Amino acid sequence: MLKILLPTAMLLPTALLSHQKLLWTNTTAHSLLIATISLHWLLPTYYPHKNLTQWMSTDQISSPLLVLSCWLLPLMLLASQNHLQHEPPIRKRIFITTLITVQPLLLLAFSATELMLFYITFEATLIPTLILITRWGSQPERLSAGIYLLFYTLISSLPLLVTILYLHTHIGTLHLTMLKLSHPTLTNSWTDLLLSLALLMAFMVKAPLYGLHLWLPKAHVEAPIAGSMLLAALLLKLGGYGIMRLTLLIGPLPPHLHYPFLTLALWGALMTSSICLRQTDLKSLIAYSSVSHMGLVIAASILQTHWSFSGAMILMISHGLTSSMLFCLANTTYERTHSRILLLTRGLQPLLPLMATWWLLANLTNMALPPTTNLMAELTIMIALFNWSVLTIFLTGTATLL
Amino acid sequence: MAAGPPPPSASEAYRPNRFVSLPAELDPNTYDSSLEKRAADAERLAIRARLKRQYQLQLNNPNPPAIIENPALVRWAYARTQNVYPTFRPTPKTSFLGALFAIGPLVFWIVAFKADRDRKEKLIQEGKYERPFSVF
Repeated sequence: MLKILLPTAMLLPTALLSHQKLLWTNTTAHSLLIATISLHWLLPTYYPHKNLTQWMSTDQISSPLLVLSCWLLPLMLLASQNHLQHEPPIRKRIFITTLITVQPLLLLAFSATELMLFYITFEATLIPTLILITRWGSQPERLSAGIYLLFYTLISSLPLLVTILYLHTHIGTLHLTMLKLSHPTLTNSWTDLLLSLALLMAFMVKAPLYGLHLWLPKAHVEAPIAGSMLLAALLLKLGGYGIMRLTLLIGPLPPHLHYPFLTLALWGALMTSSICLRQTDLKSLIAYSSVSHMGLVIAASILQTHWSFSGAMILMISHGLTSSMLFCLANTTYERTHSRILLLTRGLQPLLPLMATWWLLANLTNMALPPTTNLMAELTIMIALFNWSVLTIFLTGTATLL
Repeated sequence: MAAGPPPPSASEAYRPNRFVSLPAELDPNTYDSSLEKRAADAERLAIRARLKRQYQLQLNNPNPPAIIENPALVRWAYARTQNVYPTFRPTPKTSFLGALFAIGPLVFWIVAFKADRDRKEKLIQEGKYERPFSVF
């Protein structure tokens, strides 16, 4: 764990002190090295929590996400080089520093064993993202996008903070292993219902769930490419990961909670897929398809069966990679045509054939084409949902079609 | 001169059939159209010619702009993306439509899922539900 965290922290002075000519190569190369080293987390293990220190551990839920976050940093650096070309060097350094600060916070968040540490890093990842969006976005609407992002997440996570503190005083510890061993404290009373709701809401907004997803298209459209990639791949997964961790605390969700959430998630997947068909802006199209996929993830996380959790995990990883790819492609289209209007991309294939090929591949993986992992994930989730109730197949089938 | 109705004109006599479509010269929409239609056509053509001239001017400019944009397209995109909420006002019609299409399906699906799961639960309680064979 330390051999990843220390190099990641040392990337900061690398970014700030490298020679101007070597800035991008240094940071990209070193972050690639860190990404390669991080692969060892994926080794299978029968321990419930591997790499145990008192505050951080990895298990099968968090290690793929940790590897994903390490892998995305070099990709983000590569993608941002073009639009930062004409900035003065100090601004380039600050941009890279902002990107790099997210990395250790995310690593801490995904590997945290204490709920409080998870909460702190969960909120802390917001700040560099906010800086990225409001400072380096390119349209004047980025201010409203930043406000939406900030306040949606903060309003929903304040109850989370209160609930975590209450749980701490009640149970005495917030360590995940201890929580698994302690007796579930929740009954069917209204107080405990509100407790579970408070715990889940922050992650529902982050994930995002259909009714609370308004911040996402704004944030994605206004963010610079690195910000979009970061958001899509990692921050959404924080929401899904949080739900998966917390549902062990809450146990089987009371029906007052899980019916609305499941329905919102599934219907939302359908709705946002259809909204995609009416979008003018390329990036908001990708943003809405992100909401749709994450809706499936939320539905699977609420279900809490073995298959649904595996499906949710695989979908989170594959969606992270696919969404980042789509946003990168949208960015290269934008760089070459200076417009994000979808209509104008007509006729690009003879002009830019390689990019059109990548677009095709990315769209195919987004649609869960056979040998990709997206398909495995969608199928697993659909089967798990079908087991829950036969009627879900209507919703998931139509959503897959769309 | 023959009395009675005049002989049919060419456009009336020659109707399109399975083998031949109606040529433009015999179609009353495109030939011999009224003065108003022709004036409107000329106006549209003039607008299009102006736009094409603007485009050609910018294209052949020795210091060309970075991007030749179409202001109508920009306005259209703005109206579709960013001008929706500022031009929205809650009226009885929109609130009814909102309730119907936004909350209606959710309530419908919640009721549907609950009914289905209750039915399954009842069957399980009564012992009538056959568990399907598990692959694990």
